Amino acid sequence: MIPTTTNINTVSETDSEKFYDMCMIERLCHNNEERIKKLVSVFIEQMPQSVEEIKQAYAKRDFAVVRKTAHRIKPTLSYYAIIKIEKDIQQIEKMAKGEVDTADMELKIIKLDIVVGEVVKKMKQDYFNN
Amino acid sequence: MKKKILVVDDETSICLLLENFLSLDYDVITINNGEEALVWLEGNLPDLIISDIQMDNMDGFEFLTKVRQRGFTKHTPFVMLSARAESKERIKCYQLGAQDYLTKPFNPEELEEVVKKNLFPIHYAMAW
Repeated sequence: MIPTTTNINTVSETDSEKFYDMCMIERLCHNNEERIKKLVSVFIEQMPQSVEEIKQAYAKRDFAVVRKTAHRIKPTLSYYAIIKIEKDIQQIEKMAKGEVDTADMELKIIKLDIVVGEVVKKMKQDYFNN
Repeated sequence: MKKKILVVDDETSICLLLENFLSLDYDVITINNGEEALVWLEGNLPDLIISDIQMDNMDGFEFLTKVRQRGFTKHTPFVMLSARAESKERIKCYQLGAQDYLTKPFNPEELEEVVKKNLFPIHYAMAW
């Protein structure tokens, strides 16, 4: 489905497609709750900053920074199994590299921003009760 | 004494993940860029280095090259860990002196085996 501002704004969590899944993170942290919480807090603090970097670089048409930042955060998004944007982040990186038409890059960046915002909100509820 | 692993990656989450995963069995030192890692290497000698490729200022290729140019770390096992999956990247890493190449997101079991293989080559070979 090609994202439009209409369907981007209806991003929501369903049972079949959760915002995130901690399975891999739990495994890598040997189920240590303290370490998991520390990682979640780093995600909450840094991922929105990285998305902001992408947004600002895109606004300046600085595609090198868009590509580099997308490439840097891509594995982290995979570890948290944020599947709603898994393909989008790959496409943002490719588009910024000039391999694909950049026509819908802006929509993908908007979607990335919205989904990361929702994930952060959900993580705060799940791990820090706020 | 635990073996010492140096992890170099500019993404804090990846450093933390590797530290969390490997620190049960090894001493793990994490550094966010190649330049700082080279400074750290002036006074320390790890048993294994795991490094990302894409980093600001000094990328993993340059870091690996400099590691290999230094006498003390000329033969230190080096594993490249990157989100780039292209074969040409792997070839370049091997040509520059990396022992192994893992793609992110890595499979924890594969990482564990690659680390063991490089830290304990004789024991590892004798296991089969």
